[in-house]
Amino acid sequence: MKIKKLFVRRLIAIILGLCAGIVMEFDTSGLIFPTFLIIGVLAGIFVEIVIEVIRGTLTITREDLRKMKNPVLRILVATSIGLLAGIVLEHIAIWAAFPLFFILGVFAGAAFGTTIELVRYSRSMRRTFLEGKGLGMEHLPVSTAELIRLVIKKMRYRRKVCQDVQEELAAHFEDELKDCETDGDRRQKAKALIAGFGDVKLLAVLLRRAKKRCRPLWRTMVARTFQTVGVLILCFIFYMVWFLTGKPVITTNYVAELNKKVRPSADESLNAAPLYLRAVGLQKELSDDFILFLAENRQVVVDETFPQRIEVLAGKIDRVFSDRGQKDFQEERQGIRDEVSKVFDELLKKKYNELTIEQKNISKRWIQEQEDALELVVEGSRRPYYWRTYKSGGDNPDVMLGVLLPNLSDFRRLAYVLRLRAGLRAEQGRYEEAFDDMKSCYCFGQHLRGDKFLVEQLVGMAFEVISVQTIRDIAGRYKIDSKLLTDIHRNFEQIIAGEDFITSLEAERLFIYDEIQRCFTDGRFGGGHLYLSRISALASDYQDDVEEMVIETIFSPQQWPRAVKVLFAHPDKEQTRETADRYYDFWTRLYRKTPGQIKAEGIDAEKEALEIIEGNIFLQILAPALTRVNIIAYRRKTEVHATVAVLALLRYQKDKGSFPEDLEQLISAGYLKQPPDDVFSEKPLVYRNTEEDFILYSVGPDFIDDGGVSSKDRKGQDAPWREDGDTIFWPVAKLQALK
Amino acid sequence: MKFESQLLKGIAPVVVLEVLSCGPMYGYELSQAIEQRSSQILTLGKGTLYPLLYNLEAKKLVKGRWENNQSSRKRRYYSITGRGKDQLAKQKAQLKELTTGLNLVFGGAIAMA
Repeated sequence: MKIKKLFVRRLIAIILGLCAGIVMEFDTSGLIFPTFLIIGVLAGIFVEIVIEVIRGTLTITREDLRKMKNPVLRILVATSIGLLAGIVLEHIAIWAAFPLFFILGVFAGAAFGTTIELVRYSRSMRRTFLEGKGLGMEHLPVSTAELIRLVIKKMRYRRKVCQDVQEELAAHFEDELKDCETDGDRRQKAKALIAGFGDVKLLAVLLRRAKKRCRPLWRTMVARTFQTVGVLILCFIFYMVWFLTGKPVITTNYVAELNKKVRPSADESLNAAPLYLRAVGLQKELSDDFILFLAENRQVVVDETFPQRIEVLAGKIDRVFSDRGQKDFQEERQGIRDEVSKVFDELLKKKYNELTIEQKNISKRWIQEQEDALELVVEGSRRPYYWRTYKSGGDNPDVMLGVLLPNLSDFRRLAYVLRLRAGLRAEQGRYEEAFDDMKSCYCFGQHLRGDKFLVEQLVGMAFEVISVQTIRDIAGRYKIDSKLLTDIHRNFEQIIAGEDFITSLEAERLFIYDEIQRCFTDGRFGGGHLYLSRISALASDYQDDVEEMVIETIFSPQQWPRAVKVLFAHPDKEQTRETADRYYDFWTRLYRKTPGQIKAEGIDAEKEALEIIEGNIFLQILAPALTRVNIIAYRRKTEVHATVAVLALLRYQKDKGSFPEDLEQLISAGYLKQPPDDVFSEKPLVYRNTEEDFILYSVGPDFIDDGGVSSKDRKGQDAPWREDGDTIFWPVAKLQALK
Repeated sequence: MKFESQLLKGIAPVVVLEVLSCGPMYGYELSQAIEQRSSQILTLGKGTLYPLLYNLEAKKLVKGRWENNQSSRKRRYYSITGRGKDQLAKQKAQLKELTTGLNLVFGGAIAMA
């Protein structure tokens, strides 16, 4: 009894220590998990032992303590083994689930150890009980006592109940034998009684069954609850084994499929990619001289964009680059070069006519340094095709996620420099060359579209928009003769002929297919569910601190349904693939509709798309948000068609001396094949003759005709494609007076 | 006499309840009482008696309690409950009807025996 109480007290101490550990873990945001949990448990045991030692002088004998020592040690050993198993599981399987397996390991170990000890304790008590000590069995003949023990043993029920039954049976036998006068008679009668006793096992079963019926409802409920919990734990263990044993099977090389898709059946000499890549290679880094030059002219390099940053940089530049003999500065120099590049990129993003004279001078110098690279871009843009062989940058070249996108930032910088050169050339009166640069920029953009990755297509769209905006800027600011206007107009019409302006999602679809085959287990035992190891790797790409995320999930009850969903109710591989198909099919269908059509049909694209992937956490993480892509794509289409219309209108004015009254007049005169569509209004762009000039605009994303009034930015300049106001293509904004 | 187990199974609870209606008894005492009152015709072995008693207890027809007898060992006494008495009355009525029916079928042979 003393031992039992001691055991309970120790268990309580361990639980209290564990609770304290959990509180400490919370305070430290679980950063050093599970250290505090272990310390808490050990501290609980220690404090309890100290208390017991003090109490031991009064109530507990040394023998009692000795008896307790071993079980506790054994439980601790089992807990440690559980912890080790947890560490091994964390390490080999899913570190992302940290510290789930630590906790499970510790609890499983402790539970296992405690159960074993309880069983041992129960058996030892049972042995004592079966020996019949204190139950009056000593007055019965050995054979009868053995028979009763056998019945009780086979009864396999609660000790207290068995004790009652045993006592009752012993009393019965004793009463039967009480009339026997000699030991011989007793033995004889006992033999007869045993012979007429019947089947021991059957009696034991009947007794157990009857006694079970006798127990109160609460006890039945407790028993059923424990049984249910036990079954659930067992199921959980089996489930976890099933869950952890599955592995993905890679059946398809989607990188190869993508390469096949983007590769036209054309000769390599028609591919623009090698030229663009050579241009990237020729793009010069900022030289020391150029950086010093930037530092000296720092006041003009940037305006309000990075004033403080450039001042700090200038100080560093002076110190580092003025002393060129110092090799120790090498690392610092690279850091400065990177920083200056970022600042310089801001300058490159500006339109030429937005620059100050000093900024233009810097740009001129930079354009000169990049001439070779720009010529290669121009040459590449004349080629009809662009394709690259995609391959992963990681150890495995066939993983879509690791596919290196082809120098998009370098491409972007080349396009910006091309735009600056067009502006410079226009300023120098070299309009034809300026337009050629922008045609090249447009073709460069076209090359990046098609069945390529979305990000490539978006960059391509940006190049196209840069190109048409610059063409309108040049046409609006300088007097271009009719012949050149006609040439650029016709050229442009040829370039965009047959262009469908539809965004392709094929590469994205293949990307998802590839991740599905890598993120879901397949075949064998444990196939079809999410593969946590891969998911954790993916999550680390999307989340800075996966460990923190997992801890947050474990300790945030509101996150538990999500975790339970991942473990138990997540759609399987086939369902996910089917959902992914529906998701991309939905967007592909939607991309054929203009924003105006989508509004007219009352489609809430984002909501419908989210409904498709609802409940699929994998797709919710990986499927890209695609709503804005469609708007960007159709804005570009409008910009392009508006530019073609502007060129036609300018030609008309040159030929006829005035602008047409309406777009129909322009079309009937043969200057334009069809009216430029406004994708937001589903009507032609709004055109008005304003005597000396004209206005051409789209109603913009608010779908409302504001009478040609554009939204303004904080500088008071026209801000196109804002949610309010129209987007005006002509007249071009008078951004800054040419100096 | 050795009865068919199914036959005994149906009758044994009524017999036990009837005997216990005379007063509380412990297991051995109860089995002796049944034998005596049935002139040794009905005997309930331990294999039948105790599971039966526990089942009756589970149905709350009898109630068991441990009593310390000064002269001998501790014993568990069983007594009939109110519900047990009701049940007994019902079953006795049914048995009476059954006996009447059987007598008619067997031409009074059962009553004669």
